[in-house]
Amino acid sequence: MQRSEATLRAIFWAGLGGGVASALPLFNLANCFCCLWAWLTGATAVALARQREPVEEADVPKLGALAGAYAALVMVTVGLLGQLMGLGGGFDMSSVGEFLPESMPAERLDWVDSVSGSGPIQVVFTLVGGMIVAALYAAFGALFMPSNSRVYGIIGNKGGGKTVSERTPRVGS
Amino acid sequence: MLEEGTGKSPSRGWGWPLLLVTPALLIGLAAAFGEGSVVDWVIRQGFAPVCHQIGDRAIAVAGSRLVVCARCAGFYSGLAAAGIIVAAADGLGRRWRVQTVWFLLLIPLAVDGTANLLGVWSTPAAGRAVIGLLAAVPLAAALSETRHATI
Repeated sequence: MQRSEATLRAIFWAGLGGGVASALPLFNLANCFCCLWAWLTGATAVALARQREPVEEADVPKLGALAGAYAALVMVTVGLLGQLMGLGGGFDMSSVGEFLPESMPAERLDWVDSVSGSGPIQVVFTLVGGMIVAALYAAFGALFMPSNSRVYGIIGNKGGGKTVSERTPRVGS
Repeated sequence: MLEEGTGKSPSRGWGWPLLLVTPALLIGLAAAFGEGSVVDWVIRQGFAPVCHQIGDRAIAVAGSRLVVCARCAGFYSGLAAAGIIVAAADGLGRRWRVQTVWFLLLIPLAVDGTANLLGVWSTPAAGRAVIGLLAAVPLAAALSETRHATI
């Protein structure tokens, strides 16, 4: 994928918007709808890039993946800043106890409580968790646009479900 | 479904199949270490932004609940299976051609998810997992097809 200024701008703005929306309380509930912010980030990045230059069909998932990964980075950063300022958001380490089984030994529970309150440990775990989120957002950012192109062939272009590359003659072919 | 390739290599590599398999690997890794372990804890936090992680809606494996709900577990399993098929197809010099009608498999996901959210009905965990798995297949297949688009 050619890293032109248009694609980098598209990744930046789409990722920034998706990441901030994913980090804000209440707004992040939209992710309950099949990780809406993740794939919207990818779709937005492709749409923004296409406003300035043609985007090859094979580059669409790459663009979506990069935008998704960047959105995850923004989300983790915003969430971390929010936690540091006491505004909430990000990975709520104190809530991890809700997911632990009741049969867990007491000393393990004590360890969890002590670790969840430690700032540096929280940052480390947040970064590791952020890497996982980045992979997930990249996957979702890449997944939906190729499908959108395929479905558009039925709804928008009446092309019988053909991909965009099949409908559009290649220059020089 | 698996067509002959054109002989030219797409952006062949392990990147996309690996990305599709990674979520399922992480879920499996957390399950292997068991609920309450550090690994399970960290991975659970990683999936927190994309899954409600309600314990009652999670599948239990060997006595410990998965880090994601049943629907997500099925979805990521479907992605992993599709990723493996993509890699196998590339290895055989073929391309996985997705049929447009497969995208109808997304409808049960939307309908069931909305109905459960609104409390219209409550789908059993197995049903959620199957619905999630079926929805993942056309998405991953379309991604595979896009990789061959410039050939």
